[in-house]
Amino acid sequence: METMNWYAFGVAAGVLLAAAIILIRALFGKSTDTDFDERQITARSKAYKTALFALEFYLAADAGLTLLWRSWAEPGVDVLLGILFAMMVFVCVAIHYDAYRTLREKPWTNYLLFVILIIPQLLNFSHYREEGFVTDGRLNGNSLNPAVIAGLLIFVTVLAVHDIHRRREEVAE
Amino acid sequence: MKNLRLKAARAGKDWSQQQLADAVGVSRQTVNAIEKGDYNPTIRLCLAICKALGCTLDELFWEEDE
Repeated sequence: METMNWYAFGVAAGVLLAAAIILIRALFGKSTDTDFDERQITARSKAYKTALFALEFYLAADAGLTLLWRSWAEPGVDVLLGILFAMMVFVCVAIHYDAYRTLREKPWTNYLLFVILIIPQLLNFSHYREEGFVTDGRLNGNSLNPAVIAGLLIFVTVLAVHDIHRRREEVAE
Repeated sequence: MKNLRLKAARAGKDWSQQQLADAVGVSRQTVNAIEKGDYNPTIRLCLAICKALGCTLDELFWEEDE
């Protein structure tokens, strides 16, 4: 019961935070007309397509593995890993094809956002790491999820820094 | 196919890729992609680039017969 209360609190906090951000942007945000140009629309389309294929491939692999072997993760953990995998593919393709201007024009804002996202995940992982990643032969979510999310965010941060460095060298040529 | 005429026209005005990008309202990477031949701009963007550089469509974007 107590776990459910905290779960509900987490969901409510997330929804309220998202609503607050949307409201602030609507009231005080600048126009998004110059957020991307025509090439970046194409780049985003590539990123979405690639991520969708990645998710479809993951779901097929997940189903195949469960069918041929056994359930390899706790309920919901395999789905979350698939979603994170598809999101990661999207982010990597979007960074590679420069689909979003803000990453390059406001890099430190994005780095700060990544750090803000990484720190709670690392704290969460340190809280649950004694449980380990595997319970009764299946991946469990308590320690695995924050570890995976933190790892992916660190990877994205490194990729973003590398990409900006690469773009700067391109300008210098 | 690389668009060397665009690059030459931009250099003729002593503009960087960023300056041309700012003039036509796109990102620097888009200008770079057009010059390298990695992206085919829409006619609308072509016209905007021609206007900014003071050139015609033929001068910058017409494909030469091999």
